[in-house]
Order: sequence, then C-alpha cells, then structure tokens
Amino acid sequence: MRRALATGAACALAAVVFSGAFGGYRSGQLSLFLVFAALAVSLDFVWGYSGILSLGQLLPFGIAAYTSAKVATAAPSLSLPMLVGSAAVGAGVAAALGVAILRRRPSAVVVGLLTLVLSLTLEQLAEQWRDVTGGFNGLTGVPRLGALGIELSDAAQDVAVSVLAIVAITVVGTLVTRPIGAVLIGIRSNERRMEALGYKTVQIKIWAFTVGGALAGFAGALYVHRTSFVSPQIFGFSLATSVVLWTLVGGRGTIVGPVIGAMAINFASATLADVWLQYWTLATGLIFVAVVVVMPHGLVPSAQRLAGRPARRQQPNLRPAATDADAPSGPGAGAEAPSADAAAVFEARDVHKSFGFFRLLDGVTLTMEDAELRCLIGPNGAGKSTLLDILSGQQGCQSGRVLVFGAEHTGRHAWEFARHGVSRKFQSPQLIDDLSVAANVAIAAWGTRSSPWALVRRSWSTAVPRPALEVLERTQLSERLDMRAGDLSHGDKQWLEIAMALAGRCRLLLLDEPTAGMTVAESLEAAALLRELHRSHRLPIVIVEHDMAFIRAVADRVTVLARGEVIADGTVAEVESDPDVQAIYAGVDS
Amino acid sequence: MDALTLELLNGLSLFATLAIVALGLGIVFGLMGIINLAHGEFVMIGAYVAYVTHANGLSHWLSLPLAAVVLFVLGACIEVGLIRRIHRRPEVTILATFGLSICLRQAVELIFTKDFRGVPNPVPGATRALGVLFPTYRYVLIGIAVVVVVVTLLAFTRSRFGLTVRAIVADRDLADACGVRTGIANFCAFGIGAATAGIAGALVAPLGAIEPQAGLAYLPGAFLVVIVGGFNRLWGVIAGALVVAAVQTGVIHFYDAVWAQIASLALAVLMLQLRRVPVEAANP
Repeated sequence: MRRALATGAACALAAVVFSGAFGGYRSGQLSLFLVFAALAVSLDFVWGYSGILSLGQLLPFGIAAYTSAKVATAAPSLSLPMLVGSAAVGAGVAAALGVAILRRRPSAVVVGLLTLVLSLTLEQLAEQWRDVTGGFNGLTGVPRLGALGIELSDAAQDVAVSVLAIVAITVVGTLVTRPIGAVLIGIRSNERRMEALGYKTVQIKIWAFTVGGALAGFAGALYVHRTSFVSPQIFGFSLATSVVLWTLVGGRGTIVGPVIGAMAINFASATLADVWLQYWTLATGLIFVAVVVVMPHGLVPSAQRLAGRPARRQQPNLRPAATDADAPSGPGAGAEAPSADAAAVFEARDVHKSFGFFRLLDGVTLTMEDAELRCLIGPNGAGKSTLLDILSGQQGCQSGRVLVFGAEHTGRHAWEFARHGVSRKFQSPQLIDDLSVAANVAIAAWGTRSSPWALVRRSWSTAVPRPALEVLERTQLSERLDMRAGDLSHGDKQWLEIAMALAGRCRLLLLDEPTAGMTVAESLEAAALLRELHRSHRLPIVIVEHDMAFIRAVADRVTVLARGEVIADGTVAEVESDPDVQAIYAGVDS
Repeated sequence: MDALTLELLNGLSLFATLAIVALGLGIVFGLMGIINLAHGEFVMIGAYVAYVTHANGLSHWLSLPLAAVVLFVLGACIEVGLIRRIHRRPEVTILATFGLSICLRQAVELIFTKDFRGVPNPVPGATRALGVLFPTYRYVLIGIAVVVVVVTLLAFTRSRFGLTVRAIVADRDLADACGVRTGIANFCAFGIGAATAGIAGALVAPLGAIEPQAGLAYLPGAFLVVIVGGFNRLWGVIAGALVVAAVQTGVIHFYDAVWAQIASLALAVLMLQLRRVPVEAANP
C-alpha cells in the first residue's frame, strides 16, 4: 500500500516536472493520455481484476463527460466540485448496469456483447437527442476547470488534470493492494470456490463494476474539461476498441500495465498518425490480434515473467486465533444459537433431483442427528456428489427440504450455507491458483464475514482457527506459505483445500473424495487427522469416498447410495454384510 | 388498414434483413461457442463485392454467389490462421475478432478509400399488392433472405453434415474421440457463417451507402437477435429476428429508430433476467 502511494506521488511529481520542462503541447498531450490511462485502469479493475469483460466502460465515462459539460457550462465555478459528482454519476451508471446485467451470472461473451451494444446505442441516442446533447457535433466550448469564480489557465489545467488523473489511478492502485484485491482475483479465477467460502460473489462483482464506473466517470469529467468538448463518438466503437487495446497490451491484472499501454500507444499514434494514419490504424488492429494470440497477458506481466520476477503481491500474515471464540469462526463457534445443539446437524428430506429424464436423486432422506463422522459411499453415478452439492447449496433440488442446524436452507445460495457453517471440499481441488497458499487460507478465513468495504479496510493479518493451522503444519504447507497454490502437487492441493474448509466458519465439514491423489500412507495420515479433528472439536464430518481401507479407518457410520436412493445405513461392518450392498458392488442386479 | 399493411411489410423486410445478417453470427456462436465481432465487416465486404461486380458491368444477381464464395474463402482463411488457435477460449476470441474487425475495416479503406459507393437498384419501382405500394426490391430481398436462412438452417439440422456438426456442439471431445473431424466442422461453420454474411451484404447493397464503416451499423441488431433468440439454438436466429423486428417496427411506428434500438436492448436484458441460471454458470 505504501509502495502504491509512493509510486503515485513520484508519478505526480514527474508529471509536474515534465509539464514544466516541455510545456504547452507536450503537457497537453500528457494530460490527455493520463486521462485515457485512468480510463484504461478503470477497465482493468473491472476486467483484469474482477473478471468482468466490459466493452462498455465508455458508458460511465461518456455519461459523466456529458453531465460535467452541462454543469460546467451552466455554472463554471461548479466544475471542480463536479469532479466528485462525476465519479458519483459514473458509479451510478455502472451500478445500474451491473444490477441489470450481472445478477443472472451471464457468460463473459454475453456481458461483453451487451455492454458493447449498449455503448453503440448510446452513441446513436446522443446523436438524436439534439436538445440535450447537441446532436452529432456535441457540446462545445466547455469551460476549463475552476471553482469560486476562478477558471484555470490552459497550462495550469493541463498540470491539474495530469495530477488528478494520477491521484485517481493511485486510489485504485492502492485499493487492489488491500485484501479486496485478493478476493477479486479469487472471484475472477474461481467464482464457485469463492461462493462456497461464503462470498456473495455477485454483490462483490457489482461493487467492483461500480468502483470501476466511478473512476471512469471521474476520468470522463477530466476529459471533457481537457478537450473542452464532447461528442457522441465518446461512446463509439473506435474508442471502445482503443480502451481494450491499451489495457490488453499493457497487461491486465496490473495497474502499471494499462497506464504504460495507454501512454505508449497514444504517444505512438500521435507521432505516427500524422505521417501514416491509415497504416497506423491497420497496425493497431494487427497489434491487437498479435497480442491476443501471442502475448495474452500483455507487456508488463510478460516482461516480469521474462525477468523471472513475478508480480509481488501483499501476503497475508496468518496467526493462530487465540481461542476458538477469537477466530472469525471455526469449529466450535456454533454456540451462538442455544437451540443449535438440540437440532440435527443437517436434514435432507425426500430430496429429488433430475436432469431431463435422468433421476440423480430419487427421494433421498438423510439426517445427521449428532456430530458424527459419516461416510457416503456408492457406485459411480449414485448421486453422492450431487447430494453434497445440495447440502452445501451448490445445486438446488426440485423437491424436498434441506435443513442445516435446524434452519431452513432449501433453495438458499451456497454462500448462505457457508455462512451458516457448512464447509465444502470439492472432488477436484478448487483453489485460487494464482494466489499463494497463505492468501488462499486467509481468503477462506474472511469469507463468512465479508462486505466489499470491510475487505478494503481490514488488515492482512488474519486470525485462523487452530485446526486449519494444524493441517498446514502437519503437511509442511506452513513452510511453503508463499508458494503459488497452482504449483502445488495434487495431494498438497487436497490438503490446502481441507485447511481452507477449516479456516472458514466450519461447523459441518463436507469432503468429496479427500484422499484422491494421495499415497496410501498419506491417506491413512488423513484418516488419523480427520478422526482427531472430529474427536477434539466435536466437528460433524461427511466424507464421500471409495477407498474402503480409509473408510474403515475413519467412519462412525456409513450410508450407501445407489441409483439416487439410500439403500443401506449403519456401521462399516453392518453395511459390508448387507446383501443389497453386496449385490450392487458385485454387479448383481437385485 | 393500408398503413397497417405497410408496417407489416416493413417489419417483414426488417425481419428478413436481421435474420440473414444474424444468421452467420448465430451459426458461428451456436456451433463454435464464439462471438465474431468482425461479422459486421463480413457483411460490409459482401456489399463491396456487389459494388465491384457492378463496377465491372456485371449483373447484380451474380454478386450474391460471388460474395458467398469470396467470403467463404476469407472466413476459411481467418479460421485457419486465427480462430483455430484460440477457439476454446471465448473471451479471447471476442478480443481477437475485435482486433480483426479493425484490420478488415482499415484494409478495405486502403483499397477503396473512405468514399461512399453505391449499387443501383436492379429492380427499381414498386409493386402494388395487398392494396399498398411497396418497393419491388424489398419483396425480392425478403424472398431471397428467407430462402437462404431456411436452406442454411435445414442443412445444419437435417443433413449428415449437420448431424456431424451437432455432435460436435453437444460434446466436442467425445465427437473427437469418436473419429469426427472436429477441425473440418469448425472450418465449414466459420466459412459458411462468413458466406451468409457475404450474401447478406450483397443483398442489402442497393439499399444504402457502401463504405468501410458500414459493418458497424449491422452489429447491434445482429447481436440483439442472437441474444434474444438464445444461444446454442440455431433456429433461435429466426425467433430472435422475429421478436426484434416486431419490437423495432412497433416502436419505430410510434417513436423513432433509436428508441426502437433501446427497446430491443431492454428486451435483451429482460431475456437475460428470465433465463434460468445454469448450474455450471458459477463454474470457471
């Protein structure tokens, strides 16, 4: 964070010196291109960090530009305060857009198309709505920035615009060094995992879209004062492509990248376009295609990779929660509701789930009265993973009810299950590959109490429940906290995901094939560890497994699922001697 | 009564144009899962083919098959040279075709300059039918567009080739493992998508100015058709074009073209809200 602020201050100083040294024309260029850089950073925050491919970043930019032009023309001394207003306009536009588009989790393609079409439509609207927008020629003669009856000179405004753009970029640059930055990367790379940790991912994405819109709106106001006019082309295809190009070439997911991209491409085109206009446009198209195909990460990340120095990210500092109560959550933290002990851990009543004609779950009723360690077994396609999905809100069911600790959870979202204490490990490890081991654990610990602003303010120092730290220590992951999670071995990924499940508000642990990819010794170690967890924290655990040796070592009780129905239930010995179970596993059609 | 008939004919004409312009976009999206942002440029190049045909003193009708061939070749080259490398990453293809559209526009501008070109109407005049006068060429356009759209869709849904392609849509890896040549299907899908855009371009050429930026005008409409019609369903193009044309014609009648565009945009957003959220949507 300090580094981001220091960089911002140094850049602002450099901009002032540059303007002083070269003056006039160059200073004007610099201020315009820095405004474009701010616009590119706003796209980067939305796209590079949060994974929302918005081709309509010009909507908040342009609408704020028109609004500022109107306000400044009517009341020139309001133009400086209106900069804040324009950020609000941008945020409002983006928030409305985010709510309309993002709530139904559309694919990147749909988001990209809708935002682009919206932007192009607004261009036409701005051309038609002559009374307000001045039609095709737009609004001209917008006064320079000013307040209290003083209007800045051209030279002063250039410097002011440069500095303000750098300030805005620095604010966003600081924002992404906060925990929210890691959470946004998490949502971008694995939304399902984040939701299972308790994050309201849609809400956070809309928030990110809104913040990006605020920066774009601010940049729009700077733009309109700097150029003193605004026309419908501000929403047009050409600028829309350019913003994406700057961000793409510079490098998504970094703040420096888009700034460098915007500055370099704009200075290049200002220099080359005079002599070479048509070919230069063709060249930008070719650069676009080439970067996408050859260097999809962009200049800055590729250069970092070449230099062997990947981007340094702030790492969380994990500390043990002093007591279970000190932890944000953790096993045993479920005592707040007096009735919780009386209610069953979970209850699935007559659950039906089918895809087309295929009945995955056909009236499953499963209850765990008391904290036990239950294994769920059955042949492939029996519906085991689907049942775990329904118990953790990953999928809904067509009929039936799901209660967790006595609370109705039928039809609830995964994050609601997580916040109520249901922790889930998926069949194939679902980690945030791009982040470190420590960041993965910290994200898991934050998940159940997280609003975007809280994630901006909170510290990186994170209290983690002891069981999660124990898992990290026993598997030596605690010595590799800085390692990228995606680089771990398959077995270690499994352990990390178990640690993540324990780091949240874990009152019920659901594990889908935790020993897959582990050696025999490791899986026996896992069995011992899980039994230990269960015994010392009275933590209810459900495990889907195939490995009978492992099951014999851990299970209190086994439930057998076949063809979407529960066919047996009891101790390992009881189940193994059940003729129905034998028939199914021996392949005899009973 | 006559006014209503005229509006219906206008709507029908809009529907036919939207359907044939969006057809290629829908095919490429439905079969390959990618959005081609350079589709409007394909249409624009089709119009230029019509212009070149006219400039060489040949019949306008010849330009339709000619545009189909030129665009098929162009589309196939783009598929081999670019799309094939990236088609499994939808977001990347959006960006790449975004860049491609700049290249195509600029290349056309270098060859033909920015000047507006035109093609004379091959069947000038109007025909009186159902009690109203309506431009004859628009009747022709409706007829040809409907035939092209229906034949293309039938080819994809009823022929052996169509079966192959649909197998690839259902499960690309499985089809690959079963010995279906998935590469050749992409090649054909993209080529045919481009070819229909070429026909669309040549077909609308006599109705407006031909210039390098002309493709952009078709983009919003075609995208809306695909979004409203629903992804992954080929016949959705027809349904989408029908709905969008109905909304636009209706709104144009009372307000103007921009509000018509906004109304269909609102419709697309509404469709998005109504659509069931797929389970796998939360998956990366």
